[in-house]
Amino acid sequence: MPVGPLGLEPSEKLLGMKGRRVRMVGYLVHQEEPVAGLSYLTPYPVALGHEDESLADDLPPSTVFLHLSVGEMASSPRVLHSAGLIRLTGQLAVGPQLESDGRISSVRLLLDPESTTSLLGTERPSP
Amino acid sequence: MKMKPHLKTPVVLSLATVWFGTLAGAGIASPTVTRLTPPSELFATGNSAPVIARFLPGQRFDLQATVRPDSGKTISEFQFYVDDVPVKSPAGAAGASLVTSGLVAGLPAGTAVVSLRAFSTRRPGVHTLKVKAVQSDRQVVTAVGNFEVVVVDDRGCDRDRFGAKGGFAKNVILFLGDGMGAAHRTAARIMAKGYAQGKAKGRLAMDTFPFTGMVMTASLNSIITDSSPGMSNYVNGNKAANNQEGVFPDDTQDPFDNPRIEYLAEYLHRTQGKSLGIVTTADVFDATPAANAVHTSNRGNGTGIVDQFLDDRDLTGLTVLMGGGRKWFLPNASNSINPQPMTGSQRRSVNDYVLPDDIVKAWGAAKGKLDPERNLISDFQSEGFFYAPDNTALSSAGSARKLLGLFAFSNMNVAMDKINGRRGVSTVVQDYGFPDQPMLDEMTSAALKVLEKNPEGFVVTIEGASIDKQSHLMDSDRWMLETLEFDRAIQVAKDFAATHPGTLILVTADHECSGAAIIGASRLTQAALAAKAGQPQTELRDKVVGTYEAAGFPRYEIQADGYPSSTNPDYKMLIGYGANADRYETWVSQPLPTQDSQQPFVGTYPLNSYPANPSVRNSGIGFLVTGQVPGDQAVHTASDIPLSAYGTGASLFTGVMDNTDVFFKLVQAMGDDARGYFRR
Repeated sequence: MPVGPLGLEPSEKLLGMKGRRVRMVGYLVHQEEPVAGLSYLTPYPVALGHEDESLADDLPPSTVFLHLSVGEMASSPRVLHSAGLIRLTGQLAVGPQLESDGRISSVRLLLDPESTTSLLGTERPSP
Repeated sequence: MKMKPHLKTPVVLSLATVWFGTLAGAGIASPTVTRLTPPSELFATGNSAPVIARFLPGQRFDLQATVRPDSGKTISEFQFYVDDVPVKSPAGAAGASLVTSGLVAGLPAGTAVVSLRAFSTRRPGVHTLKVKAVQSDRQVVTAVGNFEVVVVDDRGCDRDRFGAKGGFAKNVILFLGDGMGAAHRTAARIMAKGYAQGKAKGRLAMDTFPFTGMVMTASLNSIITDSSPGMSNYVNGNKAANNQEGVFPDDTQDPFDNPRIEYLAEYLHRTQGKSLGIVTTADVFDATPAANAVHTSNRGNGTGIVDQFLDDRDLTGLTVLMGGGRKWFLPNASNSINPQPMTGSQRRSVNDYVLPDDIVKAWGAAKGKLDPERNLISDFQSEGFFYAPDNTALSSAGSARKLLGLFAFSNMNVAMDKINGRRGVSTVVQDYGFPDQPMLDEMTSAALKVLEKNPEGFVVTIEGASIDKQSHLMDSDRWMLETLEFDRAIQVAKDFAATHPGTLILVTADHECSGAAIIGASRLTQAALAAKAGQPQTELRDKVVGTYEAAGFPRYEIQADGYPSSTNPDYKMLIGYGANADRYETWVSQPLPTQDSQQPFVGTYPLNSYPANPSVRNSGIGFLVTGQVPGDQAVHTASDIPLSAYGTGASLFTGVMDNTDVFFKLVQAMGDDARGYFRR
């Protein structure tokens, strides 16, 4: 995601993929205090959120906000961190949107059920 | 009655509450004052000492009280008294208010927050502060507290250097190494200079400063501070609660209407016409930069904070603002615009500001507006600020008289990654989207070129922000390089002082972070250490950590750019943490800023590799170090902070001092006195 002096400069390729089903590879952001139903994918490992950080964070502009598929969102689970590269599939959404963590996302991946299940696993203990 | 503060915004009952007047019935109810601001031990416990709130002669601050009426009654009048003399706001009635709506939850109906804005007095000494409130049935309640006006005499005068008339500091450069304790400084020296037979082969720039003090860093509500009071305590002379900057706690929900204390920059701009500079490697809305100019009880209110940087520049004299945080300055178009432009803006109405009229009238502050669609970069430029989005642009800002630099969307990348980017051995800054970020010494140089243009002088805070952030992450090598970057900026300031007489430089920290300690050095070469990855504690700890004489003198080769060629030399320095969270330790630097093990490409999430432990960094290749604190990151500590001082008035900064004492010493160095005029 190119960034210019006056903000994001999304490529035509990205804008052309809006609404399409895509496959993305990246790292899940490690959240100190996970937000229910929301996670983030970045091109390199990022740790997020301690009490002294607030919104002064290290999320790159190319961060993709991950939305769990609708059924799972309803029960508001928390996506816990996993190490290493991960491949996810889902529908790409592009454009500013207010998220439940108070941030405004620019790019979102609405995860397929299979990717959601793979992130959540089964019977995860509450943090 | 001893009250232990246990709330973020402590509410206490006054022992000094007195009521007189007629009883309405057989009950003994009466209105009560539950908060009196400025805070005082006199109000909280009945003890006149220690005096909590202190001010310079003429320094402005707000008076406020929270008054709870009897059930079914209201508070109809109030008056503040200083030394039993009724006082007014400089804006008269317009600078006072009685507010009964928008209060925090849990207060009885009819509770009133009464305020008198921008009060000041020049009379030195301890003063009693009294509030009298009248209930609708004419019952009266009073409460008493105290505050002090500190006499600033001419001991700041550097008579030896400037003769009988003395010399005073015209410029103040305040270096704030966020989270930088003694161990951080020592480790940076070992890395950068090396030792020979017990002698440091060189000194950091901060080591060469001739005067040293120790700073106590507690906040208003804890021995463990955070960066908000950690900064604002230095620059307004008063304690603040954690997460709050430039204000005292109150009982309203609005985070921008809290009782204010005039900042050093505001005081000096108003009385002397000085300029303010703020330079940081963090997002500029972050606590340390914001707590030089913005008054808020919520350090997270990014939109309102950055707006006020510009809107209140006539109060603060803001002339230079540099760091990350571009995301707050970009317009966030309203939902009515279709298609929505995608700028990456994080501006939101919910964290923007609109001030109540009493603050606007009494302080001369901008009213504000909920305007996420604002193009703040454009507004800065319209006010004459040169905008630099990267180092190349910064290099061409020479003739600018005002400077705005926004080099990243949020925090700038850390020194290690910026330098490795310049050396061509890392692509982190490219991956991040900001390949041309300046180093802190380059930012310092550019800032001073602009600020020196003001013949009245300036005050600038320069922050090495990620010493703290990397300490939280227990990334030893990255915070060491952050400290080196910070020290290189200090050298720039020291060189400036040599050609600009009347410059005072302080190097300090808001708090210590992580309880960092230099525990020894590796007994192994880099190759042998790397080969131990994945081995158990008996190998990776017991056969690696060299303590006492086994530590020897770690050697790092420093390149021409001033940074080590590698943070993994043979027999490298090893760091332990006293305020750590769980982590897996390998002792080896990782190429990426967050050390996550890079497993091969996987098709689906590997459920069986999910860590039993919250911390995942280096799991599988490091040994587990169980933390002292829960969570995944190290925390701040209460350790005193070393302070180094150089230049005009530096001799004032010795001994053990409170962080609020630094404020008064700064003004003392600048030559104010109780009569409020400055000798030039």
